[in-house]
Amino acid sequence: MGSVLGQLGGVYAIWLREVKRSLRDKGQLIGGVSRPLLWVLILGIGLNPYFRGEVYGEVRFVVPYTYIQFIFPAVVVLNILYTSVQSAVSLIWDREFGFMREVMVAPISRNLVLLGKVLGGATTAVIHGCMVLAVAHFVGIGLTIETILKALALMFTMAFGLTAFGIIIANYVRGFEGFGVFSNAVILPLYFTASSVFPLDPALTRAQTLVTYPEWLVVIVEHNPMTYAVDAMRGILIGFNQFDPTLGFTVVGAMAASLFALAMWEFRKI
Amino acid sequence: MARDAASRPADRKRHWLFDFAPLAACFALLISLGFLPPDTSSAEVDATGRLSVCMPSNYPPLVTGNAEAPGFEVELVNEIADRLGWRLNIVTNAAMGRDFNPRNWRINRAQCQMLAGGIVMSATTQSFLDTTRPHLQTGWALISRSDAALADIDGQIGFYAGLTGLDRIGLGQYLRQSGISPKIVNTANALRSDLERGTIAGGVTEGLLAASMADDNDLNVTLLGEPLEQFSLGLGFWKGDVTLQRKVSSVLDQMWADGTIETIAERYGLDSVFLCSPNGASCG
Repeated sequence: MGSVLGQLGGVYAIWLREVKRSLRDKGQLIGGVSRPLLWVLILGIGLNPYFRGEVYGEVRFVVPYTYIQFIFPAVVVLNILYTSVQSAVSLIWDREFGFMREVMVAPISRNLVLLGKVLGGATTAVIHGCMVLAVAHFVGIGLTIETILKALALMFTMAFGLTAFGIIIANYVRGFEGFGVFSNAVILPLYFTASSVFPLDPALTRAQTLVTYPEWLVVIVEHNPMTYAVDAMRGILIGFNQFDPTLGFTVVGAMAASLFALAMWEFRKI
Repeated sequence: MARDAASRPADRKRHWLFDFAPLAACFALLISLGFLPPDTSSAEVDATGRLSVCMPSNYPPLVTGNAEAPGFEVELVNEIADRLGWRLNIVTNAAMGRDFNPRNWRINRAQCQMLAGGIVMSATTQSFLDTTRPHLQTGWALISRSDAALADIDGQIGFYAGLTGLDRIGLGQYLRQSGISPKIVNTANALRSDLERGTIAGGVTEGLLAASMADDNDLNVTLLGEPLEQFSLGLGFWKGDVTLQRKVSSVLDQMWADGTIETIAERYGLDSVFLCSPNGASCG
């Protein structure tokens, strides 16, 4: 019993350290603030008139939301994606300064060390996701307790899987600079091919979709797990799904479980 | 040593405060920025001092065309404009009362900033309009001299489509399943006169219109329930005109609170069956 509590205490200590360090990291905080500002307030406002239901007589984009509402859930996912993957930089930091060696000799299993780190990264990512939710009033999205709880559950599951993914990357990339470049090279393509800034119109058949977009793009969008994460977040926040609503939760859950399993396997090599 | 132990909780508190202060500042900044005006729709109306509202030309009891009692929604938007210090400009549009698809109304933001006179909160209308919370509810209704159910009425049934946005396909399927082949009429007056002459035993039309006919002619009105839907009615705004929608919604909240909406509804014989609760929870 005492041993179990001791192990859990170890997980808590690692979690707390990760959370405190990310909260003290001004760069990460500025990134967390600037993304909702740039994407929602600037890009959303800039493009909103071109996608609203009617612009001086011409119907452009007839869907039950505005463009700014359409991209809002995707920006929540973007903030989580960035923060989760980049929180794994702490692994490189710990390895570089020898802290990881001290942790590894502690009487706690490697998997629980990983769990503490992933939970810490996921917590920070959820806080950054909430930063986007803070501008929901601007977008005209009414948040209820039920909506917030559902969104938090999805955000945490997503953040858990993506932090594990960041740790897998960090295990292969040795330097800080390399990690930054590599993670950006992964994050932005994942985001842009997740149907985050343009919809694959659910009213179209597959044949019509393939006429509207090049086939390679449709295939990438459909095979990107983040597409289903963005879709599930849209379902929660604006009630719009391009795919089966249950698919998003299933894909995100499966992604989190498999990435954590892979991270556990990778973490043994450290 | 003893002093160190005593000062530790205070130090910890200070550390936590130090850790959370930047995060709290970030949230405060984002929440306050969230209250920036997202569009110019309200400012445009303020600048001209005039609110243009597109409405059907005649849709009793919502729009009557009678100067003495112009209709529930005309009085409603008049009161809203008065309270906000705007002049009201009503742009009548005959297509609004006739055509099923709101996209065929041929109205655009150059003509009016707001839409009223029976804006049903269906997926079709909400695909291109933002709306206030509902203030009325309606659905397909049976109007007849007897209180018999639709399937038990002996004789021909008339049908007038009336208010746009109601599900005519669903009604068509329902009537076919009930073995009813209605006589379709083009105006409310035609339905009324057919009922008066007895050429039809009953009529199916939109509930509010049926209520206003029943008031004049001592007829029974029954809202048709499952599987047919009940629909909520509100005021419509162009997608993205969030500031105007918020301003009008806050005046509507005041009007619910001081009883103005109930008073206007009473004047047009709209009882609790049709009137929503102030938060719109009892509608649709």
